[in-house]
Amino acid sequence: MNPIMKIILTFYFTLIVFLANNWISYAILWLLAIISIYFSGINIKTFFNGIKAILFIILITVIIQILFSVNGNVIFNYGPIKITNLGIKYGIFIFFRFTLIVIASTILTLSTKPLAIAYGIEKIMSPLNKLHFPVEVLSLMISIALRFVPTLIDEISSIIKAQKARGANFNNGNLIKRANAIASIFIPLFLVAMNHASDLGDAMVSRGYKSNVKRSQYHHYHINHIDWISCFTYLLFGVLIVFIRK
Amino acid sequence: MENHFDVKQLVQLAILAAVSYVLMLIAIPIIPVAPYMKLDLSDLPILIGTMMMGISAGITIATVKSLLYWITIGGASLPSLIGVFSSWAASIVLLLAVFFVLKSFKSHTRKLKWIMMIILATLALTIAMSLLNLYVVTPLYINMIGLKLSFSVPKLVAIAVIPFNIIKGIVIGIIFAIIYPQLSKIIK
Repeated sequence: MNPIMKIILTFYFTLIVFLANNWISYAILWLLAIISIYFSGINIKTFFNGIKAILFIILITVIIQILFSVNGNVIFNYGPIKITNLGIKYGIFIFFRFTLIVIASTILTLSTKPLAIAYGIEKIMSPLNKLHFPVEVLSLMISIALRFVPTLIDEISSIIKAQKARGANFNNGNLIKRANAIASIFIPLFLVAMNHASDLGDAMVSRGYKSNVKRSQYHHYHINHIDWISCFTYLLFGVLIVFIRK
Repeated sequence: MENHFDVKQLVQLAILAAVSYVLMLIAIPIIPVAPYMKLDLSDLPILIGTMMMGISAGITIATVKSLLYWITIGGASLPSLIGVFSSWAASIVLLLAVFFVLKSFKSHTRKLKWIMMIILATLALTIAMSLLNLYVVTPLYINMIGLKLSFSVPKLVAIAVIPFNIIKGIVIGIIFAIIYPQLSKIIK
């Protein structure tokens, strides 16, 4: 699918999630989410690994809602904690809403390369160019930063190993000692990063890079029939939600 | 932005943003009630970029880092946009405070300058983030997720946001005060 279409549909899905407010509308959204997961071709195991981290935050939000809700019939009362039937209902709705949004964005990030997402966001934000907001420069910087993330992670682990080999201790000591230990990692990391930057900068200057000319893309993305089918499906579900919500 | 920086500086800013992003991945929650507020060192490259190339450089690094985080970890979704925005705002407040304090304290003895920097940056960060959380971020988040709560936002700010930002300001300030004098010698 086209990354632009994927981003727009993910945003659209988030919007219709906010429209849902009863059991049937949430059931319909779950159906749409399951259909999307199925057709995205993502392995279910990878998918659950993707949402595991955020599931913890969702559960905490739900527990806060259930423990500190305002109205409804009280089922259980202990000190400041009042559990009401409405509280539990809202808790479940919040769980659905949050999880559905996370599922949609996980489908986007797991099925699309970060560079493709950056491309999509650049194209969606391109009207801002007229306001002299440098969308393309920002997108170029995101691409450069993305490319150097794995390199820098490697550098950090080798710097930590090198400092440990020299007898550095990162695990105990007071705040100042720990700050010094962090400095012994950060300063080499910073210098390595600046070396990468000057290499890449020289390479770009010597090839005559200019930021204010029209650039061509290495990857070309087209909108094909799959994009239109999914667009139509999402619109259909959106209309359904509007009619079913209370 | 093209007018502000040449190509080499743009690349430097992009790579500082990458360093900042990598440091943001190593984040630890420090306030038990609010596990979504995490302490990380991603402000250090932003502060160094600010001191090297000016305020607009710092803002650019913070923007690129936040967008990168939003695309990759936040899944480009609306609720994560709120969190990314508040961390972006915190970076901007911190870099402005540090920049102006360090520029205006030139004549004082060195130790006093750094201690003043840590105190004033922490104060600015705590005040700005408390107000932002009180009036914008937390109400927006509660409304977006649809929480119906019996405890109030000011209480959350008092028990979570204020201590978090005091700790964050002091920790980042001390590490920056140790790192920057050494780095500025090497850069020059």
